[in-house]
Amino acid sequence: MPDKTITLSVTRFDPDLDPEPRQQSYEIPFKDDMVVLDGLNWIKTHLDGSVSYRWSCRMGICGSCGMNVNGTPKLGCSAFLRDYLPGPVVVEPLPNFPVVRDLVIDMSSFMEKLSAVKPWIIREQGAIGTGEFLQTPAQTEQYRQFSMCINCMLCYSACPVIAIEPEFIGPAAIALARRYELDSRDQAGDERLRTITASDGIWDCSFVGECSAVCPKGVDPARAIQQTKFDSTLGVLLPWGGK
Amino acid sequence: MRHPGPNRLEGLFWALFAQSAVLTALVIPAHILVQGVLGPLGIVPAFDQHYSTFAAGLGNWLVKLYLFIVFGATFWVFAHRVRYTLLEVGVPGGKQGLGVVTYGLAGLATLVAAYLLLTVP
Amino acid sequence: MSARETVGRRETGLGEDAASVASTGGREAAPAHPNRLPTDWWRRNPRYVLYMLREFTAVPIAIWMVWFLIEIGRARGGPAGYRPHQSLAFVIFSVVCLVFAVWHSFTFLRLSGLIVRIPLGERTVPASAIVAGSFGLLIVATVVVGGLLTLGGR
Repeated sequence: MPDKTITLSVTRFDPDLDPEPRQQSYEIPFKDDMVVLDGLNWIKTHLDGSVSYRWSCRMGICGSCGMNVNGTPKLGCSAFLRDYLPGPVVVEPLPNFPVVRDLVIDMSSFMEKLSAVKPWIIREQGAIGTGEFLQTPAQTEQYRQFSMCINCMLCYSACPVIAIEPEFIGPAAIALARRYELDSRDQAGDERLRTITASDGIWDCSFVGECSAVCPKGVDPARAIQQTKFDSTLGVLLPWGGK
Repeated sequence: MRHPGPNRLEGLFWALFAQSAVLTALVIPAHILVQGVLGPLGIVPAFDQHYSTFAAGLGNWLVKLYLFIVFGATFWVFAHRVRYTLLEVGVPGGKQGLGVVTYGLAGLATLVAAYLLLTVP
Repeated sequence: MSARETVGRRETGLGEDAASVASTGGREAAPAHPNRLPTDWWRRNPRYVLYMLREFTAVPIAIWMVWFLIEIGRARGGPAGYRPHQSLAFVIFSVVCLVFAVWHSFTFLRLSGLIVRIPLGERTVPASAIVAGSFGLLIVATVVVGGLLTLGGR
């Protein structure tokens, strides 16, 4: 019985040699439990050692292997080849990030945006050594969903606003800011809010919602953004509003 | 680096949009259904089908105020959505430039509505 | 700037040696390909198309309201000059606008559950309750406004 195969069409780009990214096809053996990352690893091991891509945990928790699979941002380790039969499976680098080489993108803008929201607990006075900050399960539940982000950047690739306005701070950064805003232990007050309610913050978002659609961890950044819009404007009308 | 916030103007634009979108979502279907379909077809007596009832309705200051708000909300939702959509499909002008054009148009249309409502019947 | 930092920090992949990574580390300009979503991004998947449809609803609604404004303008001329919109063409136009208006109502009120956050002690009012309340409000508003528009026509 002939072995089943599937074709992967992978973006290749060597900045020293290629004027533009191009697609290169590879036919690989197919097994039902293979994911796109397995396919890429097979190509690199057996066919073409020069293919470059990021990956690590291969189980959807490290956020390293984000790539466009047939036009949709996905984790390479979570996209099963059987869902793309008969192929070819088009594997491209994540849109909205400059391509450094093949499937490897320059994520420095993302790192800058994350740091800009000060993603750590901020207390009013030095509190080290004063003991635990107690939190009930119900209080944790308020922000737990927004804490599940694995920084895979699929949401930035799905967002059409980032394409037009690259300075937009973006879904993951705002969801992260909201995670800390809703954390009962945080006392940042307006400090973080000032960053995300700036012109390239939440007001750039028009609620396309694709960020939440592609998020592999169910963070729902679109909801975080809209709630931040509400809380920072109309929410002040609710007398009991706020944290 | 990051521009310092908060941008209260954009916040105001969005808040006006959100409130206007809720209002239009709640009342516009009734207006179009009654005034645009059932009334002209003669199925129900819509107040704008005869001058006497229309003028009587429009002469009421509460009605004028309500309609002014609904017109303003409609034009604001139009402006806000058109601004962002044009930006996202690559129309030149920038976010600020498109904002001036769209919100300006909305403001103008609302002023026209106000003028008409104040001078009718 | 950023390409140099990224290349300098890039991990050595299978098949690459440290020398080939280091040899590209001194580059000044970033030859990285921009790789932005194209301006026809909204045709790429059904969710994007639905988003565009949702945003577009603002246009027919505004156009219909302009038609209403025209009617009000006509009423300023006194009873002799007044002609209400009555043609079949207007009815068809209104039906089309009504479809878009209802789509706007349905999508926006459904999303209201995501936007509005009402704290209740340590918890918040569930989104489903807010959405149900919003649709209930739509029914009430339609009955009230529709009722007043017809009562005013007697």
